[in-house]
Amino acid sequence: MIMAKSKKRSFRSVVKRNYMVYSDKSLKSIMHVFNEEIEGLRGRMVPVTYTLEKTGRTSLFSLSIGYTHIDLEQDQDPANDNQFSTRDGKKYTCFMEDDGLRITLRAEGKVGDSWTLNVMLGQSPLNDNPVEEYRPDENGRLDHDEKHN
Amino acid sequence: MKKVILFATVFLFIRVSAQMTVEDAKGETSILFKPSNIGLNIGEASISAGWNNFRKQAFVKPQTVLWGLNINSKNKEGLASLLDEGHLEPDSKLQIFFGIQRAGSRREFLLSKQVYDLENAGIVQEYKYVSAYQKPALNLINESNLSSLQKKLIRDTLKFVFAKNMDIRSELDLLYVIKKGYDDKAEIARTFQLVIDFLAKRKDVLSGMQKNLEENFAKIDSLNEEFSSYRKTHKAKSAIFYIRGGLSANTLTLYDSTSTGGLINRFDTAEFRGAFVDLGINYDVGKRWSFGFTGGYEKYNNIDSLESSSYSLRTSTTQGSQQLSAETKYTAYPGTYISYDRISFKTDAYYFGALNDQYRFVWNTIYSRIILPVNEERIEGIIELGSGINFYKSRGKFVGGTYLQINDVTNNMQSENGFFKRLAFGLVAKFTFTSIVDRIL
Repeated sequence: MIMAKSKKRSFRSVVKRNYMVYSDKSLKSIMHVFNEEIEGLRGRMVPVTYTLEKTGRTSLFSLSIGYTHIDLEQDQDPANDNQFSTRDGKKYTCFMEDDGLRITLRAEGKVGDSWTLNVMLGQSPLNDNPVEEYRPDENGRLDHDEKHN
Repeated sequence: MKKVILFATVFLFIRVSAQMTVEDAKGETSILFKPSNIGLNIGEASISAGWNNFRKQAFVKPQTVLWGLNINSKNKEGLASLLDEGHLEPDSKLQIFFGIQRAGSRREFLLSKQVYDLENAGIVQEYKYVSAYQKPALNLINESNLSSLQKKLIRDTLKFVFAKNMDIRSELDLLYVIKKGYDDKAEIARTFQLVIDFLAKRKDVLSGMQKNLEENFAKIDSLNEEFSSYRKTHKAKSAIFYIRGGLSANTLTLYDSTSTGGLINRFDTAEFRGAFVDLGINYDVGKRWSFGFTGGYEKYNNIDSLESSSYSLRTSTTQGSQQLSAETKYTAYPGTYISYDRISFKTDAYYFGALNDQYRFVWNTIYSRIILPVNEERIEGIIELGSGINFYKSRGKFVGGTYLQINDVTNNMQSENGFFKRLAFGLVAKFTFTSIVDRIL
């Protein structure tokens, strides 16, 4: 991470010195316009990919990430019934709030059952990865409804 | 009268894809588990192949149709006998399964549908389209009458801007394009101004949708709250109703000491064609219990209770002072071979528990097998009762298991053995391979 940053700076400084002082400023102003918060809205849309793994007796009811329905049936691995992930090249566009990405997973299982979810925002993983539940409640629910960063 | 009794003792076998079951001494259970696609049971020298849609069991649906087909073939004498002596007594089975799984409650599906509709409402789709995709921007650019170099610069700039995670590579790519294509700084400034104008327009569009979007999310929040509190106060339940049927065929050699004529006539080949049909229910409730019941009709034989023996038939020819001997080996079943119809009932009650975070177990608290022959007086009806437990490590790695079974609870066979001598117990060991086990567990 540190290496990447220093590389970025050095490249930029070279570019700046030689050619691009003006266009670099323009780029900044473009990013500024792009990133400006929409007034009153508590977040913005982000591209999301995920992987989900569960134990055999866990049954999945539904999964929503950032107010977006995840199509688990379509995302079920053809070779592994207990593995789910975003199909190649596909991304879900999800609503990332200022205080985190809301993840709502409803599932059922027996004692010993669990699921583990890993979420990527673009290329970078969530700090809270992995999101998981491994203790079903008294009713046999493995539900999760929380915001994550 | 031939007393028919089956004592299964220790069985140790390897299954390529182990199933999380607590089976009885014969390896049968009335509770369904996701079956293997291909199983190899070395102890019994059997191979099986199966096709099914049991992957649909991964989802809670109001109603799921399940089907399966399984073909199993084995050498009755076991692998050792096949390899050492070449004895092959084929035993094949075909099983078909059809079931309906019901899970969840009407209330839950209604709430889930309402949430789904709000998540996919027009306003959300539109907002996502404008805010996150480059497509509207690219369309706008392609339709404009900018120079192709300008178009390329804008496209690359937008690509960079929309890769919101600030991927360093996209920034470098962009700077590279600018460096290559543009010497004229004024031209660059004009092009970038177009991008800024576009983004500002986009922002206006998004602001206009903002109120509706927030309202939509607030509705989802309140539905989710209702959903969660419902699930906190109601137990998870599911049931599978199924019918299972099958055909079996095996060929075996019988030994009949009363047969007249040459000794070779004492060996007789019997071909058995069996069939069965079972009706069953599985019921799952809460986090601990799973119950299973099946009742079925079966055409069966008593081969399990006959013990095979090895015979050598020697023939010799004498000529003058020389003698020539030949020997033929037979493996055959002496005793009375009976083919008959029977009714059977099986019940199982699984209790799921954990010793700690690492180890968990499935305990088949008490299982019963009731077997009643139909119109066959030489076979006694029997009741078997037992209890079995299997231990697992986290993520379903099988560790070991054991069972205790009382055969013939009511002593219908009038065995002189006391209660304790009619007890069967054993160890079960399964070895699982990590590459396959996860699809089952």
